[in-house]
This record gives sequence, C-alpha cells and structure tokens, in this order.
Amino acid sequence: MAERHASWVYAVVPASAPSLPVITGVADEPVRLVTHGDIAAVTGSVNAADVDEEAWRRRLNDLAWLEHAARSHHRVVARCFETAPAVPFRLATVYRNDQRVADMLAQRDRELAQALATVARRAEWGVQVFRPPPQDHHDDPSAVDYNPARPGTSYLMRRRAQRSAVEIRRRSAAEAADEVHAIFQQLAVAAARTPPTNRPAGHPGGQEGRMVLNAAYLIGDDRRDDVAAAARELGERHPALQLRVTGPWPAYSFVEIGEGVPA
Amino acid sequence: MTRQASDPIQTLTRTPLRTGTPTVVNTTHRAAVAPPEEQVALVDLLDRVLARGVVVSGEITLTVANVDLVHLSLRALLSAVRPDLFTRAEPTRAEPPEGPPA
Repeated sequence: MAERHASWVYAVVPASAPSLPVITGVADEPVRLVTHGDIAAVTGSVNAADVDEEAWRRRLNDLAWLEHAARSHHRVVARCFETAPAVPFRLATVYRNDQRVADMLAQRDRELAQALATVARRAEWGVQVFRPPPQDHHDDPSAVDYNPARPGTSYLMRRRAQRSAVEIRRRSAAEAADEVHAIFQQLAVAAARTPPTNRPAGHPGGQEGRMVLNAAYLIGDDRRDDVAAAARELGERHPALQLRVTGPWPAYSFVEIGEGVPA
Repeated sequence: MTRQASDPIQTLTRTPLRTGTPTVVNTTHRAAVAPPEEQVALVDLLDRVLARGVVVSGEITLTVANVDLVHLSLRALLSAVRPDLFTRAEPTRAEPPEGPPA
C-alpha cells in the first residue's frame, strides 16, 4: 500500500519571498510553498501515519523525538525568517493535504497578511532575569550572634534575620525585573511577559537561580545595537542578578491569530 | 531582508553569528558577556514551538489536550517551559515556594 502523506506547515511567508531556502523538515522532506494570493505556507510532506494521534501519544513521551521535531521545525522557521517575514506555526500543525492548507490560507488570509506586516523587519528577543540562590552571609542564619544563655531568642532572631534577608532580596529582584522589563519595552513594538518558571537545574537552559522575569519583546531590526547595549548596561547595573537575553528569534510570541491558546 | 554578518550581536559575542540561530547573551557580574551557547537551549525552543506560534485548526495540532498524555519525566521539562499547560494535572516537582508572591 502506498504511503499516505500529510502536509506539515512550518510558517507562512509572503508569496513574493525571494526564494525558499533549500532545507529539509521534520521528516527530512524538502519543503515547498503552498500559495494563496499574496501569502504562502511553507509546507512539507510527512508520513500521515507518523503524525496521527496514536503516533503522537507514543512520541510525545519520547524526548529524543520531540527534540528532533522541535529543532527541525524551528530550523525551517528560522531559515525562512532569515530571508523574509515569517509567521511561525506551532509545532505539529498538520493538514490532510495541500488543498486543506490552501483552504486554511484562504480562510485566514487577512489575519495572516496582518501578522506578516507585524513581524516584518522585526525579531523576537527573549529576556530572562534570575536572582541567585542564597549563598552570601546575609542569608546565613548563623551570621546572627548566638547567645547560649538565651537559645530561644537567638533562634527567633536568626529566623527573623533570615526572613528579612530573603524578603529584601526578593523585593529588590522584583524591582530590578520591572526595570529590565520597562527598558526593553521602550525598545519594543510589542512585549509579552509570562509568569516566571523555575527550570530544573541540569536541564538545557536550566538555571540555578530563581527566575524573576520571563519576557519576550518584538524589536525592530534597526534597534539591535540598542538591545545589545541595554543588555550590557542592565547587567552592569545589577551585578547580583543574571540577565539572559536570547535572540534574534522568529516572532513566535507575537502571532496571536486563529484559535489562540486554548484555555 | 537578509540579516547581515555585521549585525551588532556579532561584535557582542565575538563569534560568527550563525544565521537563524538565536545567540545567548549571558550577563553576570563576573563576565558581562558570555559566549553564545552551542545551540539553542531545548527549553527555550520548546517554549516557543509548543506554547506559542500560530494555531490554526490543523487536523493534528499539539495542544493542551494532548499534554495529559505526557509522562512525568517529560512533564517536568514541559512544565518548566509553561507551568500553565498543567493546570489540570497534579503539581509537578518544582522548587518549594520561598515565600508569598509579591
């Protein structure tokens, strides 16, 4: 029986985009354009059996496969983004065939064209701020003098000192996070601040400290010098914090159309 | 437009910009600018490709509904990406809370 194919969509680009990068997708398949009017979906053919629900059930639990898929998907999106405006699609957006892809483009052409205009000549920058785990003597309860005659009082004092040190650190880190956010927001045409996460140490990108800012900014390509300068300056101004700036990314965080994020 | 090799990020990191590969700028008090990571960190990537990006009714779209299927080991990683993906599931292993939120 012949292998049945499905159409995996990576991104939408202008139909007039200079040329499609010579690149392969998640199934090592060459990618192609499915065009409707002024917009085109960067699409690849994958084995339909590999992307049905049963296959996802298996593969979602396979970190190696998920990583391969995520990296392959991103590679195609990123290559498009290098040469033209690109609206990234979420991983595993798969249609039965190219006709369904064309139907989707027809239904959403205005929104997609608008999204292309939004991301053109702009890039997404990720900014995270971490504060370090307690380690200096201010956080060490033994730093408070221990009075052997009054062990209970000493204990309470230690606890109080510990709590206030934690509180001070937490508050100043929160203020610094707001400051970092405000400065990048000034550079950006759009900002997306999401709740901080605590990435387990040891994971790629995992940090030892506690995240206090987790944000993404859509910034014009003409302001890249400013991004670099802001990162340097804020890093110097807040030596106790770790500032992590990643980019330029395709604008994954600034293409809210369609169904959006299901609640 | 093509992103030029003369892009500022290159001077910032002092290594050639691999086009399309986001560069990481780490700042600490020890080193204002650290070299970029070898490749994009998986958590950063999954955060974007799984939790963001356009969702337009494909026949198979990886959404919250599917995430229930994910085993705990992977769930730990994905919850690090987006805890809100797991609001319906039991709490995953995370750092103990340090105090009331600001």
